[in-house]
Amino acid sequence: MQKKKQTIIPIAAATMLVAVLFLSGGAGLVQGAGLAEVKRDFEEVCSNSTNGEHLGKEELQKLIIRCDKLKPRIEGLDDTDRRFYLRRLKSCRDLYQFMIDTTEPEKPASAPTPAAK
Amino acid sequence: MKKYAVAVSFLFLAVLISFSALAQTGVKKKRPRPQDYGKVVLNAFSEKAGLSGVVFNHWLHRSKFTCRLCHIDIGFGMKAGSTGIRAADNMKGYYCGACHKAGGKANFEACTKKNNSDYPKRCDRCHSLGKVVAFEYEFSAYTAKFPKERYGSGIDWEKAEADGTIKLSDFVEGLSIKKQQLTQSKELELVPKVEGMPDIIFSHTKHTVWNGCAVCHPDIFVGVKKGTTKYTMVEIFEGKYCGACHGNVAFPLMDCQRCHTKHVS
Amino acid sequence: MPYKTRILTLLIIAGAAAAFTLYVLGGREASAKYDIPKALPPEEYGNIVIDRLSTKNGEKPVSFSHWIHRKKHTCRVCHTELEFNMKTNTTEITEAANRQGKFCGACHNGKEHDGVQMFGHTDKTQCSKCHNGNRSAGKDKFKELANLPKNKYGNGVDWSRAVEQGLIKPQHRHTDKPLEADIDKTLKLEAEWFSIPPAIFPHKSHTAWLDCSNCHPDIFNIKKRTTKHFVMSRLLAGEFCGVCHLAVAFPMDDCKRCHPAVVK
Repeated sequence: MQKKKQTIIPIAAATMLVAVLFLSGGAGLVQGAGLAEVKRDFEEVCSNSTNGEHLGKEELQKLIIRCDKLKPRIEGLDDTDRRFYLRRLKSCRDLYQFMIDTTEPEKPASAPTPAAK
Repeated sequence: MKKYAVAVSFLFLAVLISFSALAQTGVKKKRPRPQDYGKVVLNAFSEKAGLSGVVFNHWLHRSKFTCRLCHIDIGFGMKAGSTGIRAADNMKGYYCGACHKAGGKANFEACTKKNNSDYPKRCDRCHSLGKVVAFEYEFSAYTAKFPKERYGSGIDWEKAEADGTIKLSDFVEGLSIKKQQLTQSKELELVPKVEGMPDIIFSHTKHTVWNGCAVCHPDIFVGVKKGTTKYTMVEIFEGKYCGACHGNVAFPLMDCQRCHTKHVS
Repeated sequence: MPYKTRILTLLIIAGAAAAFTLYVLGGREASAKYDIPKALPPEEYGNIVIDRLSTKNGEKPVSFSHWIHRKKHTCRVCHTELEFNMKTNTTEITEAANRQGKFCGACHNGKEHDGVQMFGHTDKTQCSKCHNGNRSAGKDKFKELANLPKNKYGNGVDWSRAVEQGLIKPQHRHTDKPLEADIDKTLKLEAEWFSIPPAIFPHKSHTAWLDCSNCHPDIFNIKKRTTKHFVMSRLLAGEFCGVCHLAVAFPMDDCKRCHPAVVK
């Protein structure tokens, strides 16, 4: 019985050590992989920032929902990446919201032309 | 208690009057020289890190890149200090480091830790506030063949692009995303409140070619539907709305007829 | 002295000291002596000597006459289109810039302009036409203004009336399309002192000569609050109306021109 313990404990410790090393070493890889995925999804969601005017309200709302889903993933990135992508995401999301606000149907009276004083 | 109130209000009044006596109104303001027009000082962290503030002149970058590339794709804020750029960001390939990196578009690296034998002198190239630095490009020589116009930097950037003098890049590898084709937006006619002042014809086309949509919307122009129905000249001169760019980077506001173009008969 | 009174006295003294010091530094109200340009004979009024670089480069300073030029061009042409500053020696005029057609060189380029052969930097024998350091240069031409309506001060000429009567036709543009602003607002400006009648400011007679940007927003901020400093003492110190109406446009000696109800 004691002989078994003597072999099991070192094996268990070694396994744990390898696991810890793998995970910590792999954390960088995981992080990198995370960033690459975020970048890919960000590109997909925000590539409509130049033609959003011609998307319907529903389409724009879907894009906003996707922006909101992307936000927590960006918040999980490291400091530099996080600050950068949060800023770009905000710009993209705010623009889509602006497009929804601007392309709402006109009221019966003609829309006021911005008047400068 | 009353005496205190009197004393405090007297002191307050004295300070107020003194400050107003020094307020520089009533004379023409000193205009920046063409090479200094569009100069921005970035100093959120430089001095704290023991370096001088960064002096960024728009004219050189403007001759190579669209406004949109730096202000949207690369994420620079529209106000100095609002981006909060650190050396670590640059070293990681963000902000200035998007181009100013090893193998990047620019010909020198920003904030690199390599070759530290000439640190901090090497940094003076950008961190030049208060220093006399010889720059690689000199304004009048570089812009000698550019079409000219009055005020601001004295360059007609629109014409320079139209006649091929400058070719602007709108993409940086690693940070720019593929975008859909930019759509045409409306021209707007803005009617001034002051009678006799010609209407403003605002061209979306001319602006979106360089800015896309996100530079202005919604941060600078939140839109009529949200309740903004007037842009006063007072606000514009203070840097809001058109003044965000046409205050000190794009052609300046002192050229009234650049915008007030449509005569009202 | 009780503690509270001591504090009170100190506060009052500190306040007075601060106000006094800053007024002196500001140089506005503290002294009654203003730095008003000395009275010049009519043919010299509005003439300036420009010496930013001339003497440093071994040339005599430039003498520039406003009345010679204002017969032919409005203020707008030089001070907006050609980017001349309002303050002498602050515009970065150089020989090179002139040769490139900037500043004086826009017209003074050795070519024909409006049927007149213009002198310029192209001919070395003509340097002294400008580089003569003599404020009264060109006074022999002054008799050409003899037929224009008279005015008591300054050049002795009522320039506005001269334009109204068609005796002079100063060009309002050089190469520009003019700003077709048609502002006709007349302002009534209440005087600081109770015994002085209000000043009447007509936009029309100013926009005939000037561009909006010549005055707005630097000299006259359209934000009304900032014109609370718009008082006579500051005008005489060269601010607001004093930017022009001390040494170039009709001088402020002529109270009735602005305060028409003044009884002399």
